[in-house]
Amino acid sequence: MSFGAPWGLLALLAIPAIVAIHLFRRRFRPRPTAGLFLWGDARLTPAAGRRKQRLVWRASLVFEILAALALTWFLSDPHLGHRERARHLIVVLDDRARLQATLPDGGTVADALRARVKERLEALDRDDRVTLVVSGSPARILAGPAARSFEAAELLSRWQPRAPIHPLDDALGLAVDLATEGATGEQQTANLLVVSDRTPPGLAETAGLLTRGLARPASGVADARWIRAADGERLAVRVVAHGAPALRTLVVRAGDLELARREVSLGPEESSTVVLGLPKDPPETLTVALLGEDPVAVDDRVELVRPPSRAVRVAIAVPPEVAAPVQRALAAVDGVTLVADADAADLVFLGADIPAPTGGQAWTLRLAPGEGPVVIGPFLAARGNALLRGLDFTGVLWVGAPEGEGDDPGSAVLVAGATGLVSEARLGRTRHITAHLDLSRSNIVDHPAWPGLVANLVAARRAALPGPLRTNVPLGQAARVTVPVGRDLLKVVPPGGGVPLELAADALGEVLVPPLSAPGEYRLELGPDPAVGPAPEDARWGRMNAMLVGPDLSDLGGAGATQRAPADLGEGDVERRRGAAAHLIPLLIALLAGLAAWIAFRREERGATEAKPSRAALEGAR
Amino acid sequence: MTVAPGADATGPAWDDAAVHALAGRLRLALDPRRRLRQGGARLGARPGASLEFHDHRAYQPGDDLRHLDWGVYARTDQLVLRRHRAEVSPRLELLLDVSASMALTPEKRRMALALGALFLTLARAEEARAAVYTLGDGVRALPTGRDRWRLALTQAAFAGAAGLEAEPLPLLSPGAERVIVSDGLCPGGGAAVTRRLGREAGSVALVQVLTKAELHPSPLGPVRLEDVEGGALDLMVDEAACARYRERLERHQSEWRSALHGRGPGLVTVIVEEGLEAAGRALAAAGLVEAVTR
Repeated sequence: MSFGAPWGLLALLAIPAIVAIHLFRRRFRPRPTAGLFLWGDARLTPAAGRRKQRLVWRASLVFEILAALALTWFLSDPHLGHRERARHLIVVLDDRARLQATLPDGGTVADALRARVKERLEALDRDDRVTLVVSGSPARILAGPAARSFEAAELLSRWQPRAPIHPLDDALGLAVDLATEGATGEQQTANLLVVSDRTPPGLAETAGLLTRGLARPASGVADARWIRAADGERLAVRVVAHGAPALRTLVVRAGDLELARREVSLGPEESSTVVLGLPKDPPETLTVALLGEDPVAVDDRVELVRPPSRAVRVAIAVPPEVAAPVQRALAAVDGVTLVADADAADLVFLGADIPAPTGGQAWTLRLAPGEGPVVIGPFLAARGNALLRGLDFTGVLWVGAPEGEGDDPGSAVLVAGATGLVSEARLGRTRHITAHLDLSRSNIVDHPAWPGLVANLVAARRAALPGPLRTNVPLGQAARVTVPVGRDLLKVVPPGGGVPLELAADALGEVLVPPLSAPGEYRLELGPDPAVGPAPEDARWGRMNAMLVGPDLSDLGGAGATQRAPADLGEGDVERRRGAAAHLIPLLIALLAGLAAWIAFRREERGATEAKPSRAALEGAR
Repeated sequence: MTVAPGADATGPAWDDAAVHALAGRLRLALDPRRRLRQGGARLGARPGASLEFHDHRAYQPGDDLRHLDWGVYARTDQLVLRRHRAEVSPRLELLLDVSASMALTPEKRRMALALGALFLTLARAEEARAAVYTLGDGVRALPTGRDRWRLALTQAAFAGAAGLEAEPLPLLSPGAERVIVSDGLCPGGGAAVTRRLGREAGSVALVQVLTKAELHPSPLGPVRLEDVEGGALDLMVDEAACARYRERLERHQSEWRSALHGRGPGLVTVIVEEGLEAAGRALAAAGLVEAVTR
């Protein structure tokens, strides 16, 4: 016999205490009196410090001892055999959604694997334990650790693989950790079984393997984007084929209304991006579906939501003689909306003496020609600055450079020798760029560097606009969201509610949303505004749509059926668990015995109670 | 204003209506020979200043000439002094045992308080001066002002084992009518108590309040007799034990009677269960009170 909690045996000390109480328990019914001396010459027995007397086995004593024994049983958990040493099977379930691929018999790979695992669980002994680990990033425990097999089987029946493509390493590592938990050294005390549609690379020899799959050609959506451009909105859908050429039909629907249809022909292991134009003012949600036979259906249909407009509002406040080249450059940039009010703009082009808009979060590009000599180069751009990325100023006659080195605030991003030509000052999340450039006299207006510079500036400003950088995000990919100025907390509420993710923004107001785990529309909420107070309930600020797509989701190459039993490592230490009912039986007995002891005590004392004066009398006597 | 006696978990402290009803039919039976203080409502045994004629005596130098009987002088030419009876104010001292044994049952407690209330009501009705002392675990003098004694009596705490032997000795007035309300169950007997509490008293009486079970116990079988004032005794209470108890109680009461002999009404035993009316009859029979017709 062994004990689950040997310290619980201390409860046995209650038994001598009970016996001692009964040894000193009075045998005569108490009877208060006022003239004890009139009753005889026998010596008086003090009320306190009673004499020890012969032990009488009364019902109350028996029940009290029984209660103490039951309580000891409950606390110490005695048991025969090796309750804590049972066989432990750890099953790693591949949760990648491609396990929903259909088999020739009409069922799915996941159904077939689930049935096989259930058979294994049912074949286990009653005391054996099972832990189900579901793969993912990160992996999670579906049942256990060390659950009973029927509990695990019940949870297994609800398992449905729906994760994007990910490596199984995390799940295998967790399984090995659980298998070696409590063991000495690296000794593994649990049996490991990996369940997938293919053999994972580098699997240990001792691990069992159960795969069920069929290497079949399949195709699906690898990615999908909803693009809002100045010339209209369109969808860009990338389709990929694996194993064999595929001829699929791509359909875009808004509810039951078909908006576009395109035949897609792909060679094996080839992908193609299909761009489908959308009508003006399209609905907020669209469905993209690939029609045609395909064993992997989960990536043949994807919902997309309309992203918010990310057009940059630009105001031009430059002298008339240089306004034309600015306007011409902006016209060549996509996603720009010209506005007259500089206070309502995201980006303002300013002349040398025109004051910057006040109070806003607008970025500015100030054209401030200097009196310096004409510069023909060489030009040196600050490395890594997005403003000058990809620009080559060779051949530019730069007119308007400052005399000497210039004294602009901020950092120089373009210099010629010691002369700073373009500088950038950052104030919070806004940028103020100063270009010492005379557009009316410089040939830069006819050089590709000028529209390139403007396009880079607009792109940088767009990237800093509040909102998700990408609204429709494939599952398993991180996403970037910029929160408005003054806010520093973003809440990502999963589809259908649930516990939201609360993410803090960095100094630039950017939040990196970790890869989402379930497809659907996520609600974005902002944290409280310090200037206003707590955010109202259900204050939706934006949304993100997670799509179950991926280039490898339909890759069934390598799938196959394998069965390899795990090495029988014997019994391992597992967490001791008892059924709830079995656990409570001794406690229940203890409670019943305690109740019976109390009733018996009351009955034994009933005569004494009748002989006693009323309670009030005793209180009065006190 | 009549203050209703307080009530607790066991009911009212005493039956005030019954006390008033009984007090209406009784008066304190005071011995006029023992009056010392003058100026009261009762006629004393000595000559004094009341309107009621007492006797004549020959004038002696120094006598108050206002008291000369001029009629006798006119008839006899002798100076004779006309004397009137003195008006006296008797003093009642009530010593109430509030030890734990007096609250053995709620009825016993109520009877003790009712008797105390009865004596104080009678004293007030006769404008007698009264003093009340409770003797429990100590001695405490209660106020005796108009109705103030009611509240004080209601709040009397029945506790302690000293009872009539409690220290210190109360400030007792010589010549006062002293009434002890107690069960008198002092292991030391009544003689010592009487010597202590009856010193210089005009009279002293013990109103012994006992329950029927204390007076005539019946067999109970094996019981642990627990004295509410301390101590316990395991005993088979059978007929023989009860007989021995009664014999000892009678001997104890005899000791009390002997100690009180010649000092007034003596020992008056009041049985709790028989009620206040029966108690009044017992007090009247003992001469502690007397019936009046009003």
